[in-house]
Amino acid sequence: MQRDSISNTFIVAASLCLICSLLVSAAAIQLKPRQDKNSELYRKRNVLDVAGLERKAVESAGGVERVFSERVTDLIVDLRTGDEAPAALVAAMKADGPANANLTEAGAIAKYNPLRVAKNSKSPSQNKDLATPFENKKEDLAGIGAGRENFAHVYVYRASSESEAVYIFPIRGLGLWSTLHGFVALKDDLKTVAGITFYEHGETPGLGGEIENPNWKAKWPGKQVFGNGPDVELKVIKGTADPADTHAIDGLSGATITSNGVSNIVKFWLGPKGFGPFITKHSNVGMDVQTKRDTNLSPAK
Amino acid sequence: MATKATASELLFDPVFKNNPIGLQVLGICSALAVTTQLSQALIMAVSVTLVTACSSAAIALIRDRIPGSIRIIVQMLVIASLVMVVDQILKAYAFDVSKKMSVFVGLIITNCIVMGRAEGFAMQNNAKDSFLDGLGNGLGYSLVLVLVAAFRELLGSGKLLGYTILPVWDPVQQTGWYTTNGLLLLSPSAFFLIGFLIWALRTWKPEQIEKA
Repeated sequence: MQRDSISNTFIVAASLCLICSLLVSAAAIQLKPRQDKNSELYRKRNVLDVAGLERKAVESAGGVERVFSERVTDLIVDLRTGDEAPAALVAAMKADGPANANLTEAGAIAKYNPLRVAKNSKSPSQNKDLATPFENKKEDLAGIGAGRENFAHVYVYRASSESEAVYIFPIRGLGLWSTLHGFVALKDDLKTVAGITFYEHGETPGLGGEIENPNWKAKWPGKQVFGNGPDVELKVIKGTADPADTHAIDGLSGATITSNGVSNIVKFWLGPKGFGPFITKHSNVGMDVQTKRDTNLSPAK
Repeated sequence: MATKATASELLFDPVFKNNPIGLQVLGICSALAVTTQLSQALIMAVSVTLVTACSSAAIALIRDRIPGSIRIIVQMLVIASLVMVVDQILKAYAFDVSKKMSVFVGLIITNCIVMGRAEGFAMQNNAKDSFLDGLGNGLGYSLVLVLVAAFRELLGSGKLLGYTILPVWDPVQQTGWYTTNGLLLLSPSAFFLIGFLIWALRTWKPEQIEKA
């Protein structure tokens, strides 16, 4: 039968593959802008979540976009020095390629992709100011890959202009199967945890996936990041943590590697290679520095 | 099929007379996973119905050209493409629900109902009949899914579609009166509920009982 001939089999298979792939890619491209908007909104909502704002409160205050733009300040921080450095980012972006020559500050921040920059940190074509490659495996505690971006977002949340700030740091790193993406929030003293959340991961549902469990996340607020020294002491331990221990979080049962991953991620991002310099610079500040900081934090628009 | 089925038979037979979950006991896995909340079950029901109807129609259109040796792969290809399109649409228009359903949207590909209709019906019938048959089977699946989900969400968390119907007892605030049944939020409860549904269905239509 003609239908079952080898050539016909190949023709049918090839043409169907072509048609189906066209269909799927057309849908993906058409819907991409909307999906991007959704994930951006989801990110913002997670920033508000980790700042301790309940969903209902966000709704009654006019929705995620409005609350975010009114109460959250997005700082660009140079991780090497801990300074706010939007101008340095613009300069580095412009030096990165001719396509970026006419970037404004807002444009540079919008176009800046920390993940891609970190991934390309060993590529010779990328401007060296954008990322620092890891020298050895040991430096890459969180397991984020080739290197670390030099500029990162820090979100500062204030319920109103007088209230205390909550600092929200984007964090990421390796769990068991996947890279966990999340935020950790510190209170105004930059020592006490205000919350943690992971908004994207591919861990096993029911085991490592329990990092999304609200009951587990509720164990974080109030814990202390640092001990007496400058080292990050906060970690997820195996088993149940002693409630008196302000540096230990209950481990997730059946998910030792994910738990260790979370420990390493927190240790890395709040440590000297992560937001450590920023934290040192901004904690223990006197009264007059406080005022200066407030003017720095006002939205640069 | 001995006599040609009419359009309404094609569409409504799978709902009660030949329900894919009730009689054929197919598609159970997703019926357990996505029925803790009614909103998830509704989205899943619509997605599966659309995928079954469209994939059956598409396969029926090209059934005379599909070589027998690769027909299962061809069916999988059509189904998988449609599921990916549905997944993209959900990510764009129902982001929250799609996030909660995570892998289960993708797993529609392996839903036995979709594959079963493609291989069992669409390969022998024309596109219009196959479309109706897919739609009908999707509706039969949807009916069970929505019933189970409504029951589980109402008694498991006192809500329907996220709105509080039974105020849950809160010992701190001293409000509400309903104590939730935690079992209904766990997967085994869906087994029990589907079991009860099949029991009810077979009491109503005794011809569905298999001969021992």
